[in-house]
Amino acid sequence: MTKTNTKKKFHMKRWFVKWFSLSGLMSIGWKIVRTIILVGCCYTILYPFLLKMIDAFKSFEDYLDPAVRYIPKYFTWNNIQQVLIQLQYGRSFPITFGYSILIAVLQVFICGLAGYGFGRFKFRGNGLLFGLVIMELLVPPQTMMIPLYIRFRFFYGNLNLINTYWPIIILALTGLGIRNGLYIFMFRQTFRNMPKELEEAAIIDGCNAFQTFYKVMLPNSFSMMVTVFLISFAWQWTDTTYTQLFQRSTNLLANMTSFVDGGEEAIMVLQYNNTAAVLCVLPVMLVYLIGQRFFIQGVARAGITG
Amino acid sequence: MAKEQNRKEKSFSKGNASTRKGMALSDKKNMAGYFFTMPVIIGLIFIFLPALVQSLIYAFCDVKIDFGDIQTEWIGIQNFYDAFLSDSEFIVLFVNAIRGMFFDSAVIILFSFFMSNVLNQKFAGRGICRVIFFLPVVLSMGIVADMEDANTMFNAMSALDESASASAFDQLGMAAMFSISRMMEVMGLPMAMSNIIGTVLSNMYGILNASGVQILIFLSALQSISPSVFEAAKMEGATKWEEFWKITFPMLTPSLLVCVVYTVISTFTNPTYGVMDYVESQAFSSGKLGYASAVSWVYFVTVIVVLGIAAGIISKRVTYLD
Repeated sequence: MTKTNTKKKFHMKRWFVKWFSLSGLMSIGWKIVRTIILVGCCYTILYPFLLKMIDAFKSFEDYLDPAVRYIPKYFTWNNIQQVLIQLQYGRSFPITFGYSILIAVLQVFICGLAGYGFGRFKFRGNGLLFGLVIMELLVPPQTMMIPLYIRFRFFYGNLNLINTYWPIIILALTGLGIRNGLYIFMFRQTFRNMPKELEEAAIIDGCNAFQTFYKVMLPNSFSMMVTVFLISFAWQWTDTTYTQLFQRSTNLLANMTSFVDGGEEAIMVLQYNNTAAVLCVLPVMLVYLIGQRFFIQGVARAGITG
Repeated sequence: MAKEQNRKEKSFSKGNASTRKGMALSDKKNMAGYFFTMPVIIGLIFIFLPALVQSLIYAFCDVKIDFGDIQTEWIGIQNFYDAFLSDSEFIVLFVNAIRGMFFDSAVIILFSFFMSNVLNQKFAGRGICRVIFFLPVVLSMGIVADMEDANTMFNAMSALDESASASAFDQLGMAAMFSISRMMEVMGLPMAMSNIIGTVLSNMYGILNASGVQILIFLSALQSISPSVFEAAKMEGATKWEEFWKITFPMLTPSLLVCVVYTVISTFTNPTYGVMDYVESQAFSSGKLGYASAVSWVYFVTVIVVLGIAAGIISKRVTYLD
């Protein structure tokens, strides 16, 4: 009897402390503030995208009518059909998909190799070369644009690589693609944080340097690889800087969106452009949602510190 | 017998030492580093550095493309002279960009630092929140950014066109912002501060979009702090406040450096300032390739100087665990 009584008292006391002491009040207040901030931020991130998705289904009258915001009065597939035709989606989707995967795989492989080299070996010039890699990240793409364009326009003599798929492949193979410096940096930090014993065990078991990398280090950095793959895939898919510079007339979606035409009305063009962007980005979003588990794991394990 | 064996061992070890050809085993192992970084070294030497040098040379030249043939003519510092003294558009864009860059970088870094700490706490729905917060990392580049630009441009144009009926939502937005600043003024906050808060709140979308990578970097650094450090601090009787300033913050300083570098770079190349678009339009529409490269070098050198100062200040306070 007394036992339950004290228990109840204790419970009461805890309840009292939780709600009425200063620190308890502060922690509850913080929880409320935190929830408000998080909900607000999530809303701010998602809202424009959702609105654009809804806009894609609106008929032209609905689009002009400021009273129609979330639920279209005249629901229509017409915009999407038109834009799909203009984007040549049936042709450009597989091309973009294959190309982005190719580029992402190349970048993961090359940057992984380089990150391992920079992170694990103290060869002469390591610091200088890594500094140059960081510099690669620093130089705005616009500074490099003109020389790179000319470079690929007259590739070793008179080979014209502009409007082929080669320039970005070559850039990916040499670790110069979009923000590859960041990937190399991320891989370097990952490999640096791995225990030395792992490598030593592999060497004792008779692996050479490449086998150590391929059989021991890469599998252990799997979530980092998926992270870099996802980012690289998405950035290649949505990139307009390099694709529009080097391959204006290829069937990549990033190019096609800039050709979408809505007719005479300027606002119609806007709606079509938005629809095109949504259709273009949607596959990337799906890939991200599928891969996000690894992405967040990769974040948790990487420990990207300078 | 024992002596003989001893001598044998000695001679063996001696022989081994003499046959070693100048390179220690660790050095030999480290040579493999060249093998792993080979593609990147090739890229740096054959594509990156030549392009960089080339663009620097173009900055001092008058460059013309005639029927696929490049003609360069050395004109010294004429391009830079033009950029600073006769091109009024560039100077305005440049100064605005630098001012905006300082403000934006500060806000983005503070915000992402705060948000990563929040996302590191335990609460229901944390996974979903993280997924949403990292969404801009994947989506905010390229196409989406271009589309946003087009939309703002269109809104601005239509507001100019029909200022009488200027879209009702814009007016509402303006009014809301005005009232926030007003409210803070009534509360007694100084004008400058209420202006800053108003700007930040109305740019929330841009800030959230720009701080995805930074939150990612901070969060991964937070996760890599081993919990035993906090346990030890708790045993010693540290409060949460002390834990934050004496453990979390110092442990985050290395990634703070990374974040500052990344933020400054990405805000500098942010298309909203218009400098990058200006470079592109000069190069590809007006055909002034040399001038465009001079302008972008001015910009680039400014980035390096700003980054050098910022990194210098921060790296003095960076603490490494080992």
